[in-house]
Parts: sequence; structure tokens; C-alpha cells
Amino acid sequence: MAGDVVVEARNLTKIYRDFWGRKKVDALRSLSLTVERGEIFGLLGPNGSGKTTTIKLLLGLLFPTSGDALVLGKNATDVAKNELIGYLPEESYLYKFLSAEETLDFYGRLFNISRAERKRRSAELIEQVGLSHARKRLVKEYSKGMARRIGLAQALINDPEVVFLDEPTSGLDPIGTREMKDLIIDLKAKGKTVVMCSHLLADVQDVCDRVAILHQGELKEYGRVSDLLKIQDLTEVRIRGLSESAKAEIERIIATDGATLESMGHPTTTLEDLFLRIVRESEAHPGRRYLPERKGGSSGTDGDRKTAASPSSN
Amino acid sequence: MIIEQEYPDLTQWPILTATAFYWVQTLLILIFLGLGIAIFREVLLRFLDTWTSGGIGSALIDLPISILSSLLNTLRNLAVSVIEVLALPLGIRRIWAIARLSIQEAVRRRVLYVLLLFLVPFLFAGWYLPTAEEAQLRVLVSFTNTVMGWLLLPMVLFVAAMSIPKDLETKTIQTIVTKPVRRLEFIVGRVIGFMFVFTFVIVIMGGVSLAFIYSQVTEKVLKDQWTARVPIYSAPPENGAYSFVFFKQGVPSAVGTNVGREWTYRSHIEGDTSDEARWFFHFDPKKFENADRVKVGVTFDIFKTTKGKPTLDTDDTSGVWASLDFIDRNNPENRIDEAFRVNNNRVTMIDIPASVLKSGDILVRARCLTRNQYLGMAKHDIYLQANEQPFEWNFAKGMVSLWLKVLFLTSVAVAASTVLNGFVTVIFTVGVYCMGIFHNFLVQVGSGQTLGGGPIESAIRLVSQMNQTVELDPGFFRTVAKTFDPYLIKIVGAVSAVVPDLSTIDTAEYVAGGFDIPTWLTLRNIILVVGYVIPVLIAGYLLFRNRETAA
Ligand SMILES: Nc1ncnc2c1ncn2[C@@H]1O[C@H](COP(=O)(O)OP(=O)(O)O)[C@@H](O)[C@H]1O
Ligand SMILES: [Mg+2]
Repeated sequence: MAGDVVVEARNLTKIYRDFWGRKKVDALRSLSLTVERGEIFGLLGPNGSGKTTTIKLLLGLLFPTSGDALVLGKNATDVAKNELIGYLPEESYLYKFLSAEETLDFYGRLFNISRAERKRRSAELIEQVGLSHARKRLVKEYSKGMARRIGLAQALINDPEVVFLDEPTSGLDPIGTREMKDLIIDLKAKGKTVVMCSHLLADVQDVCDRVAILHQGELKEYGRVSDLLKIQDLTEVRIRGLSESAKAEIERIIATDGATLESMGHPTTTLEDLFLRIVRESEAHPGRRYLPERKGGSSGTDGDRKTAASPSSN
Repeated sequence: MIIEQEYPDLTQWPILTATAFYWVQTLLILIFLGLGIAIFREVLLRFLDTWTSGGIGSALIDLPISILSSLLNTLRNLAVSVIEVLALPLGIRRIWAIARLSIQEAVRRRVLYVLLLFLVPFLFAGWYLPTAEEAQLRVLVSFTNTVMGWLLLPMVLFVAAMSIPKDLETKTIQTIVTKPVRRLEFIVGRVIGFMFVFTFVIVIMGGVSLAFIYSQVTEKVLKDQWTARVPIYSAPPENGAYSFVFFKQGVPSAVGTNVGREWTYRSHIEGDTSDEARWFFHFDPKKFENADRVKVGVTFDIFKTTKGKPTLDTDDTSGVWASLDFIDRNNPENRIDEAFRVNNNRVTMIDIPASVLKSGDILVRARCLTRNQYLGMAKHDIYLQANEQPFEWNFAKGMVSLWLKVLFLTSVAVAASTVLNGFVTVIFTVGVYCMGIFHNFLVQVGSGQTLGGGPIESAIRLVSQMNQTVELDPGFFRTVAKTFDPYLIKIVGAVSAVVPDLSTIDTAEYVAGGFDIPTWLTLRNIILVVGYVIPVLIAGYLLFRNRETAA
């Protein structure tokens, strides 16, 4: 169901304070975004840009200084929403004295899942994340990558509707990374919604439908990955067998020369380029939304606002 | 054994009402205190923020809005909390999941090794044991209780106070609270899990202790004292207010003769005069229906005004003698008169025919027979022995008190640890526990009755080593003391209302003295502690709910 909003942030602001209530960090400033059902949404940004803070606010682990966080139409602090969500934290925070099987059994109990069903699902998930050989071993003996896998399995124990993944590929080897990405795409295929964050551009570019790029707690760019990577004021034309003489009058020649038009459109940059540009721009003009060097782009016009309040859905 | 304090029967409503009121009062105090602080903090922070960003003017304009929204938010929060508290039973499986986790953690982290540590004192205890038969049980019971307490309490503190802070520190809490488990369920699950572990430890420790006591006492003690007597104490007759009265020259009086003893628990009657003390007994006549003879326990205190003859077992005229008249109040013809030599401050068992007790409405008159000597007596100095229970069973009942203390500590520690770090939680819990144990003192200070003035004044006296009854010299310190002490006293008073009196739940004295712990006393203790634990856990829940679980 397109258009069905499952996660929403409205002017979400978070200031970390110390014990005395003194301001320590302005971690997130007036973030607004929506995630629709069935999409893979990526939060992208350098370290310390507020990605984890955003996810924790959406999960109710942190309380916003102002603004609202809604998940499945409920306030983020409402426990009832937890029935339908899964969360893989930044690092796998698990009970070290339990084995993989016991871990999944324990989390399954928190959902009131019946014993038989718990058994079935944990066997299935352990298989899926590739830990069958270690299912009886204690989590404290696991390597980081293995802990990551069991962390993912625990996030999926309730077959959630919305999955929040904080740096899902961190600590995984290249094969593990590939498997994780496949798994995420698989979740989408099953109709799940995924909200993930990462500082790894390749991850995001490969799997996400839409992204929000954060820098120093501010939303810098927001939209479909394909749109964001388009360079609007360039047109790329790839032509095979074009005669030398026709090069000067290329447009006319294409029409008249009988050459094959192979492709025509805006060339795409890599996400890495975009990202680096945003960071550079943002450091030069803090507090301003990224202004791409393109014309007619719908999402770049509100750059003068102090905060990137209104997302423009592409 | 001496009972100074009168416990009403559980069937009497006032105590239940009082206890129930006590929970509610505690609950309300804690909740309003916590909420007040939270709202104040929130409003203050917002005020300061607006001030720095928009100047004092806009901060002042914003103030009422901020107060209102804070209040509304709090009310909404409270409403949700009430629902979650009421819905607690629905989460039984999730609670059990958490409890199970706590048990697994304790077992796998080898917390139970503390049991081995527990055995150590017993290896050496035999060296120090008393040989006097009267003291054996008392010393042994208090020894095992002390050892159990000293091992259990640190273990409880460590396990219960560190658990939630550790969950927060290792962030495992983040995978828990993003599951459908409610925070109250989490807290309750933790407490239940720990209590399973501690109960197991108490059962093992109690068993070892009992076996140890059994192995250490002599044959004679086993024969005479290895029991739990069920006493019937005096009770007011149907139309009277007193169950125990003195008669001096035929005139009734609440107290007897003052012989100048500091401890006024007992009052005295003079020997070889018409002075007497009377007890009324009122009980179910069926109690002694099948008995032939009934034992009566008598403990009097001797106050000598002349040297007299020393008590010699071979000489019947030595020592101080007393007589007891048992009279059936429904049929004064049915009576029996017993004379016996008083064991100073120790129990004397008298054997009387059960027939004199058959109406269940008895008057007992006591007189001192020896001239120039006084006998001190009090309400609980005579009891009819209705029954005897096994010592072992009584010992187990005694363990309930320890268990309740552990429950108290666990709950306070778990509740406090939702907002304090582990170390501070330990300090806090120990503090609350000590205040509970020395509750009487707290109440005295809180009502300004202590000698030497309030806390500051007392501190000054302590430092300057000044006599407690002399007025302080005028000057700066005196002004400080006189200004702030009244407030401190008020605070102590408030604290004493929030902390329960733990000293009253101790039952070791019963076990050691060979008296059955009355069921109503056990029940009352359970109500007192459980009644306290419930609001404490709810307060812990409210604190937990309103904190961020990711730092
Ligand atoms: N508990 C905290 N206390 C103070 N500052 C914090 C805390 N957690 C995160 N921050 C700060 O907030 C900012 C955003 O952090 P985070 O959301 O973790 O970034 P990301 O996940 O994008 O790397 C950083 O500057 C970080 O230092
Ligand atoms: Mg992060």
C-alpha cells in the first residue's frame, strides 16, 4: 500500500543534557520525515550526525526535547507499537550468558509467542542468519559478526512490520554484508518496512529506496535515491557509430543521421560524491540545507530556511 | 521471653486499616515527590532555554504554557501508568520470562557460590559455644541468624542493586524495552526472579543452620527446649478493660509498688501482705477439652529488700515463694491453689489439672508469700500452654522474617536502581534498611523527643563533648542549630513516615525462647512488608517509565 505512512518524525529535536540539565550536544534539530509502508528508508550521515539519535527517538528509547515521533500511528513511547517492530541496535546488546537459542527463546517469550512457535522461529532464524553451527554456544564467545547476526535474528523474532536497523552491516565481512543486504531486500519483498541507518554509502545505495542525509543533526537532503543521484542540468547521450563530421551539430544529426540512440538522460553521480559535497557545503555554511547545483529541482529550493522542516516527497 | 509490646489480633480491623493506610500514604508521598521534582525540572529547563534564546520576556510569557503542558503531560502519563499497573496480571508470561532470565543469570554467573562461603563460619563456631544450657539455643539461633544475615544481605544488595544499572550500562535494556514488555513487568519480573534465587539460598542456609543447631545442643536442651510452645496470654474479661490488674490493700490499680527499678515493664507486689496481681483469661473452652493436665509458664522478677536465705534446692524454706490461685469465674468453687518457688526472671513450669480451665473464663491471682521480698510481674508473665509445635517448624517460620527483609531490600534496591547507579543504589538501600531497623530512633528524632536537641544541636554537642542536658552557649552555632533544626526534624519525621519499622518483624526471639511464632504475627509481618513493597515497586516503575533507557 503506497502512501501509507508507518513512521513519522515531526520537528524532532533532541538536546542531550548532563545531570544538571546543562546543554551538552544539539544532536538533532527539527527533523521531519515520513517513511511509507513497504519501503527501505536509509538515514545517511557521517559519524555523530544524529542517525542513532533519530532511531532511538523513533523507538522511544530517548524522549524528544521537542517535536513528535510516531510509529504505526502511535507515539514512540507507547509500548503497544513494540508488538510490530524489530530493532537491531548499533552493537548487539545481548545477554552474554545465554546461547543463541536461549537468546531467541527469551525474546520470543517477551512477545507471548507459544513454545512450539518459538522453537520453530528460532530454528528458522538461526538458519537464516547462518549460525546453525553455533546455536548452542554462549553469546559471550561470539565474534562481533556473529553477535551481529544473532542481533538481527532477535529483531525478527516477532515477524515485525517495521524493522529498525542501526548500522546493520557494521562488523560484518564482505560476504556477511552481502547476505545482510539480501536479507534487507528480502524483507522488503515480504512487504516489511525497513528503516536503517548507515555511514556506509554503498549499503544505502544498494538497498534503500529513499534516504535522508543528516549532518550535524540537520537534514541536508531527502528523497528517492535515484532522484538524488541525478544531475539535473546535464544530459548524457551515448551514441554508437556517430560519424566524426556530425559531432558539431549533434542534436540535429541524431535526428537525421540515422544513428542509434543508445540512452539519453541525466548522468548519475555516485552517492559518495553527493555525500562529500553535502558535507563540504554544510561545513562551509552550517545550518543551511544542501543547495545542489541544479535547476528546477524541487527539493533544493528551501535551502534558506533555518531548519529543514518540510520534506518534499519526490 | 518478654513481650513488651501488645499486638492486636489480626481479626481486629484497626491494624489492617492502619497498614493499608500506610501503603497508600507511602505511595502518595513518593509519587507526588517524584512528579513534583520532574515537573519542576522540566519547566525550569525550558524556562532557561527560552531565556537564553529569546530573552527573559519571552521566557516569562512561555512560563505558564510550559507549566500547563508539563502538568497535562504528567496527568496523561499517570493515567497510562494506572492502566499498566492494573493490567499487570496480563503480563504474567512476560514477567516470568524476565524472572527466568534473572535466575539463569544468577546461576550462570555463579552467584550461588556464596553458599560455600556460608559454610565457613560453622567450621569454627563450635569453639565458641556456650555450655550453659539456658543460653545454648539463644546463642545458637542468634549466631545462625547473624551469619545468614551477614552473608545474605550483601549478596542481595549486590545482585539486586547492580542488575538494572548493568542492563543500562551494557545497553541490554535497549533490546528489552523495545519489546512489548512493560516497564512495570520488567521490574516485577526482576524482583520475582531474584526472590526465587534468594529463597533457594535461604532454604539451604536455613536447613544447614537448623542441622548445625541440632548437632550443637545437649540432650537436656533437646528434651526441654526443642519445642515451640503455643501460649495463651491473659485477655480482658467481657466487661472489663484490663486483662491484668494489681490489688493493693484490696484497691485495684494499674500498677503495683514501684521498687525503683529503671525498667518499668514489671510492677511489684510486696510479700506476705494482701497485695496481689490478677490476670483474666478468656479462651475457647474446647482448647483443653481432651487434656488431662495443663502446663502454665510463670516468669517473675524477685526484688529483695533483705538478704534472706539463698535459694537451696534441698531447703524448701529458702528462696522466694509465690502462690497462684486459678479460679473458674463461672463457678468459683472450681479452683486450685499452687505454691511454688520463684525462679528469678526465668520461667517456672507449673502443672495444673485441666478441669479448672474447662469454662474458658479464668481468674488467676498471684501473691508473694515470703515476707520482705517483692515480686515483679507483668501482663505476659503467665501463660497457659495450649499446644506444642515442633521446633523445626517454628525455625522455618522464623526464616519468614529473614525472607521478608530480603524482599524489602530487593524491592528497594531494584526500584532505586531504575534511576540511581549501582553504587549509589547500594548506599541508598543500606541507608533505608538501617532507618528501618532503627526506626524507633528515627521517630524519636522526628518528633523532637531526643535528648540534646535536633540533628545540628546534637552534632555540636558531639563535637564539643557537651553534656546533653545543658543549654547551648549563645552564639553563631546555637543560632544555626535553633534555626535549622526544626526543619531537619520535620524532614526526619517525614522520612520516618516513609520508611517502615523493620525492627518489629524480627521473630528470632520467639524461636530461641521456644515459643511458637503466632500466625497473626507472621501475617502481620507479611502485610507490613508486602504492603510496603507494592508502593515502592510502583514508585520505581514511575521513575523508570519517565527516564530514557538509552543514554
Ligand atoms: N548520550 C549522549 N550524551 C551526549 N551526547 C550524545 C549522546 N549520544 C550521542 N551524543 C551526541 O549526539 C550526536 C549524534 O550522535 P549519534 O546519533 O549517535 O550519531 P550517529 O549515530 O549518526 O553516529 C553526536 O555528537 C554525539 O556525540
Ligand atoms: Mg550511530
